[in-house]
Amino acid sequence: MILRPTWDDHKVVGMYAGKIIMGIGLLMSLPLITSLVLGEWDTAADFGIGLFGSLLVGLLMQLLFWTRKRLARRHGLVTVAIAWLLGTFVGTIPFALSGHYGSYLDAVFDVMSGLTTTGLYLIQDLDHVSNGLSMWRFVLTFAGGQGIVVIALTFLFKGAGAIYQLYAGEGKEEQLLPNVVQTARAIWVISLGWLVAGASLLSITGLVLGMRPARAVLHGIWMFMGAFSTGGFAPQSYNVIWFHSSVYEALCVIIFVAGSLNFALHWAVWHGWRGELLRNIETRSFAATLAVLSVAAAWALADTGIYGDWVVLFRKGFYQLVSAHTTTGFGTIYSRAFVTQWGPGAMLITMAAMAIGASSCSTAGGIKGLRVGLITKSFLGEVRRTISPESSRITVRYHHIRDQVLGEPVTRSVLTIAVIFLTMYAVVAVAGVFAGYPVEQAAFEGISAASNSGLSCGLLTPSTPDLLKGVYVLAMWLGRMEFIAVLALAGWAWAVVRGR
Amino acid sequence: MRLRVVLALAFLMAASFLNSTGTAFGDARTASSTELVEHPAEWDGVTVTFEGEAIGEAMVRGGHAWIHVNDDAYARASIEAGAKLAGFNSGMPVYLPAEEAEKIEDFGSHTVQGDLVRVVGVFRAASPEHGGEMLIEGSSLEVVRGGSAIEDPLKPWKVWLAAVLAAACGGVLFALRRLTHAA
Amino acid sequence: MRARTRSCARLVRPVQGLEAVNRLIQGMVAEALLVVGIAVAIASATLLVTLVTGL
Repeated sequence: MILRPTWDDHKVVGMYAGKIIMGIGLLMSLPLITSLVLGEWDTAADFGIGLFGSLLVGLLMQLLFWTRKRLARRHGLVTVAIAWLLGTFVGTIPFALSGHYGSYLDAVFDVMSGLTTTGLYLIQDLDHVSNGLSMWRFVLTFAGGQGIVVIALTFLFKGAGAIYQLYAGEGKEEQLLPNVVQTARAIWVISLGWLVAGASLLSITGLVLGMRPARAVLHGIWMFMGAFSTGGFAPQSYNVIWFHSSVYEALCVIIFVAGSLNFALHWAVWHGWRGELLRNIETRSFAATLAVLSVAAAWALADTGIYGDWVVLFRKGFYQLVSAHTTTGFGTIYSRAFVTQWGPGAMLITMAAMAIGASSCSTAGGIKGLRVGLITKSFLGEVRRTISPESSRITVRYHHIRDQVLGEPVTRSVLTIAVIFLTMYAVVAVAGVFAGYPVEQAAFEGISAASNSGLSCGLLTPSTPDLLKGVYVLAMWLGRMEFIAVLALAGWAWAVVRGR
Repeated sequence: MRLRVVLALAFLMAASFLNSTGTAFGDARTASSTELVEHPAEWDGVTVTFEGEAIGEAMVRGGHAWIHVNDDAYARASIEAGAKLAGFNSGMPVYLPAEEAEKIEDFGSHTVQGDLVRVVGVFRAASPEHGGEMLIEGSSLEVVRGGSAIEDPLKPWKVWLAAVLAAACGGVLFALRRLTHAA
Repeated sequence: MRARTRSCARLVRPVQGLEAVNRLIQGMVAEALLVVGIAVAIASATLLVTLVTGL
């Protein structure tokens, strides 16, 4: 029997979603300040409208839906889903006012791409965009990577009710500390530590590479945000090609791999458990699949003969593979080069890397290393079971922060989510084919969106059919939420219609 | 007869001189960035003439510099300068002698329409000297048309709208405070 | 994924101030070395591949 949500239930969802929307509005103060400092008055006005517009929506929601009822388990996931949807819509205000978007859908696409740290984009004439607008692209990416709920938990909540459900609804489940609010703050400390170190190193490198100081620093900060949140946006249309520097590329790789690691792992390492880096199932899974796929890609690229020697082949091949596997989406080759130079074989391997993705409870997307690792272990356990005597008991163990035993419920849920991901990849690929694109390109672009990777083979442009853009927006959102929160929202709507 | 021989010799000398500077008629083919990216193998090693807007900045490293030249729909006028939306940016990185890059005064940005430049150089599909990059190894650059500042004036209605929204926020916040304190 | 981990709190003794910053830097260096290690391993494998395929 499905219970229909009461008006009080709707109010709880509305009120808490409103708080999170306010957070989006407050984030716009960063690009607003950037524009004011740099004298970009029209852009500053755009952000003024966006900031107060978002705050107004958030405040109105809190006023209209104000209730003393506490947030319970059943509210949390729906609140997250609604907050992300509405947050996307208010986040488009500055984009829509900038004149750089062909349609409102394009602006929604870019905001969703930023928040989900995907990195595919539809902004036109990026190379002439204001610094304020660039700042917003990267603030969206960084905020989305941290989790807009995490941000809200840090600043806006005083901690009441089933806050854990909000946190978990965003695709993270690790509890670093007993209190979820403390966990959110811990995530911030780790990220800010990396921000200071990473942005400084990138800025200094930029200066050495011949960039003007203001550009070196701004690009350093932005590239850090894009890297650590495994986003994929870059300040110029040339993406990482702009810098023409193996040092800059190497720094980006270190930063985006770090960003793709589980926050619980960062926490353990920070507190002295450095051995965790090598023992953790996700690190091992990532290293194993990355190595296999990189070698396979090297083979495919050697066959094409485009790169004359192994150093060049490694630099180009490895960069794209590790960018794909961490679902970052930074590129050191032109998008179209995947098609015109790499070819279907290397593209397929890159797709596999994107599909697997990186660690759970990180800024990355994809099926996730933990699931791939656990599925592998479960499979090997099955093999052992079949070859062992009937009376023997086989336990499958793994190490993830602590030594753990792999039980049936976990195996079942891991497999279910993996299957849902694979289904989504197939659906998005088919959508691209129906829109008229060649199958390997449709699959590449679709998997890139659904795994929140952001590498493009040139398929996505402003003139791509709106329906396909809409499919990608949905896929990016579903992938980032890992389905649960969105399914909860669908279930909520169903209960409203059919419940008693 | 002697005149014809002299003319022929003069012609040959002129042709070989122009050939060696790389700016001869028919020697450097004009190419667009789209063409180069779509058919890199065909153009690999070919001397090309490439024209577009210099954007961002020149990054000088030793005696050479990196510049980026965009030959897209916004090369002559960016969106801020009034151009219509026409897709993504498109261009080529160019690696050339620093003194050639120094000819550029204005680089394209939000507030500047960059110099329109014409570059002559060799296109590389995956240059071994530059880590496998696709680029043009430029030998010469000339500024075809100087750049200019772009006006992006503040539109008054935006300020009014922001002020109205801010006031509305204040009002709702006040009402919310009263509601929560009354409870 | 319902592989809920219990909190890491019991693994940890509280770190504060300068020691915390020091530990944070050491952690970042350790992670950077992990990435470098993986990259070096894959670079070696790439070299092997190019030798085998006769690049």
